[in-house]
Amino acid sequence: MLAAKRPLILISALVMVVAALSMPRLIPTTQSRVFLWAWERPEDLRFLDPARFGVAFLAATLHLHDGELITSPRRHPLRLGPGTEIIPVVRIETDITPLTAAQLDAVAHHFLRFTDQPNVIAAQIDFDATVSQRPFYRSLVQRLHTQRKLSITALASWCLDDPWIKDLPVIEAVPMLFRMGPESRSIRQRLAGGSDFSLEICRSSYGLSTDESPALVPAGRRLYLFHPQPWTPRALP
Amino acid sequence: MIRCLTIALVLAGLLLLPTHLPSCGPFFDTAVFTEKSHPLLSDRDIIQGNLGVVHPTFWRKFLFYAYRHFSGEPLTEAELKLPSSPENPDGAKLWLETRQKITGEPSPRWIDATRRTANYLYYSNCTIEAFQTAAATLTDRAARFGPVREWIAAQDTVFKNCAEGRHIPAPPEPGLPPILKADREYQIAAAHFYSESFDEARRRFQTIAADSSSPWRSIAPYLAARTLIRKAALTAGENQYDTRLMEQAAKELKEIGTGSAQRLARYAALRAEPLESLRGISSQLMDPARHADFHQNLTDFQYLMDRYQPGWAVAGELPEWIATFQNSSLQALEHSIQKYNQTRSLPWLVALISKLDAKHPLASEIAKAASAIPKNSPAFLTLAYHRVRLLLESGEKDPARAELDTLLTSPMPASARNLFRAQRLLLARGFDDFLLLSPRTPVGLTTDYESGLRRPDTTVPLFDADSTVAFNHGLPLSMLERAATDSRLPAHLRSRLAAMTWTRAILLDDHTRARSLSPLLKLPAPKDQFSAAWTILHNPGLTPLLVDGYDRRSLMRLSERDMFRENWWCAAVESGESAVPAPFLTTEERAQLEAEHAKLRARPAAPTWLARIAIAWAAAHPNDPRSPEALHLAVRATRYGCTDKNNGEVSRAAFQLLHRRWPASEWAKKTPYWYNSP
Repeated sequence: MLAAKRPLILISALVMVVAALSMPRLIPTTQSRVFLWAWERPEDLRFLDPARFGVAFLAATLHLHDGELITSPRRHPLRLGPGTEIIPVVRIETDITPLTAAQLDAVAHHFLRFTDQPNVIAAQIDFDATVSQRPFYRSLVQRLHTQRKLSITALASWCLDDPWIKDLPVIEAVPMLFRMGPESRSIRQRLAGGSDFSLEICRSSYGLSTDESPALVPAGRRLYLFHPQPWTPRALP
Repeated sequence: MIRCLTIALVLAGLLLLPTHLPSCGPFFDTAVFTEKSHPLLSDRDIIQGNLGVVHPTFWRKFLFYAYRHFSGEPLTEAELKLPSSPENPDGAKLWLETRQKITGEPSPRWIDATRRTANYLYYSNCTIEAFQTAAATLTDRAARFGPVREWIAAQDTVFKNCAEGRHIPAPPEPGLPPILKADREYQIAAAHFYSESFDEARRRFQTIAADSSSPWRSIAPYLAARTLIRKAALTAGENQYDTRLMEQAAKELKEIGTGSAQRLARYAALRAEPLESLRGISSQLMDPARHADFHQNLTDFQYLMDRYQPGWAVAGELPEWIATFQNSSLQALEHSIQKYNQTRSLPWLVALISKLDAKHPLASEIAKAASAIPKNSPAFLTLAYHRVRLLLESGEKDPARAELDTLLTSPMPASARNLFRAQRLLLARGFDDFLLLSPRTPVGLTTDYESGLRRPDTTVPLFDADSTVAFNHGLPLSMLERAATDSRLPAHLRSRLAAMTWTRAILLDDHTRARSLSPLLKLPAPKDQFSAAWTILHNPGLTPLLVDGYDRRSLMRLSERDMFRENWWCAAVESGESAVPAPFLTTEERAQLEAEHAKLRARPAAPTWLARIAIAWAAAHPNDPRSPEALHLAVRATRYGCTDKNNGEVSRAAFQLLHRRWPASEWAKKTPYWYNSP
């Protein structure tokens, strides 16, 4: 019981620190300092205070396989109170077959379709592209950035030693500081030791999970929080 | 020649790549020793009742199998036979291709068939059948009337509604052939349906049904009923349905009587009358003669059980048993007692014993009843597991041990065997007993990415978490050495133990013991602390800790540097960790373990510890040719190893000493930086 509460207490402390400090630079218009990731499960988030929390919800998953694209739009309801800022997230999943120009067209079309929602302040792409898929990803971002304010999730390594995303035209890259595998300890300690991500686009937000000890969050960062179960008021930081 | 060989090797490598990889990661296999949710059962296992130990955490499908067997109604081959599933073509693609073929012009690139509804969710609005019907009808009409451009334009308008908006084709133009006129009326009704004007759509489909000249008159009643289902599902809110509309739809569909209408009627009935549906389905699931409906029944049963309500026990003993078995409340225990007293049946004996603790007044009586169940019963292993659990809880070690020793001589599924071996490990009489009970064969593999289990490629025994904890925190060094050299353990486990014991001996300054193990690991025998550190600096895989399950690092050479930074350990004993002495240790052995644990706890992370030794040695032995190399290796360890708060300090100190004393050496050239990466 105690072990389960500890990360939440830590997150609470971090959020209080964040809340006392300035707003992130890259999305200056947002009022929310913490965005809850609402993944593919029923979520009733009407209890959220829209002045503090926004919601980044999985709007659709696009599966790229063998030259084709299969869409899996959100199948579970998401309930929000009035005034909640939202960021629709489109996750892209692939296998190792090469990605094609036709798939790029289709992904761009469906991304715009699934992120065309009311009260949207930005749209997020969640795509853990392999090295060979990076040109595809780059083309996609180039294609979309004039039509949506783009946020992307980023493996921590993309913000550190493998900064291939540095010149992508996005408003932010959210380093995912959870489920990092064996490098987790090293990255956490590196951040705890005062190091920061080398890329400007990685310095406005942090992605954390409530079931892992959080990394120390520097001042002024927006938090994106993942919760492995449906959100409840008790799970909030 | 070399170029050709290189190309061939690259191509061979590409051919060997797996066809599916998760895009996130890295994900490493985790060995599962006991199945608690999704047992990997073959059809033969299910038919023969080889279910192993049945846990309340099993998915309900498996609890259903268990209940059938416990009730004396084994599953049959006919029931488990999967019905052939039809192809699932891309309906929109078929329509667009047909359209292009008829018009000779490019079709739109895609049609979005899902539509957003309230609360940010989507539903499949235009189904495969809709596109197939449109394609078939267009082919027919084009053969009879030519390109039928107006017909196509009207159908395009219909499909615009699939994703959003309200787009209704124009009424039929005067002078159209009757069949095209009827088609247009049908298209208009469909457009209302897809744009969620359900009342208007229903009225129009009813009109078509009454039109004896329309080719759509026979399908129209079915579609009129579908408007009720759509309306019921989309207007009543999340996971709720307008039951009145669902009931009406079910009634109309049952009257139609065709296959698809019957299926849709069943869908409506599940939602309109869940309790009645659960009663009927539960009854059918208990009847092997209803094998034709088995898979649909099981799917629907699970749907209803996911929505189980407290009063639904009246639907039958099958749902009642599953709901009670899964429930850990006091009420569920009392209900199990009541049901067992009423029935004295095997399912309720299993439910009851699983909820009892040893202090319960019925524990002894129920354990006795369980012991009377014969070995060939499908519940035997489940009952045996709980009988032993009750003995362990009441401190009756000898009877529990005797029971387990008898059980473990019998054949049983690997998952159950691991469970019983874990119980037996708690009762180990001594070191030998402990050692022989430690290895277990994993029954499945999973990763953080997957929810299910995969069968492992091999069945080599490994250490589960309980024995790993005992090796890491419960045995003194002398016993670890015995384990590492005991030929009763498989060679790969001995090797892992030898590496762990060797490193631990070095940390404990027991170089004699390390020397005795060196030949097993093909490592140089340590002469002093520096030579030991030298060996460790060259072998990033050496660690004083054992890892349970698949130890990925152990599959690599000790000298190989891991790209995921599992090199040079973090802490042999973390600051908050205590020794957990194995129960069979003597007082002397316990004291020895505690002393070793305290010394290990005081050691820093390996890179810091190694760097300090290297710096001290190099400072004192400037003429030793190993000194500059040791400093280089120490800096390397502070980069790739598991670090602590002193990492930057020792890394810089080693770096500075190397560059000050040996500035022109190859080792200084290979060390351009020091690392502050705590």
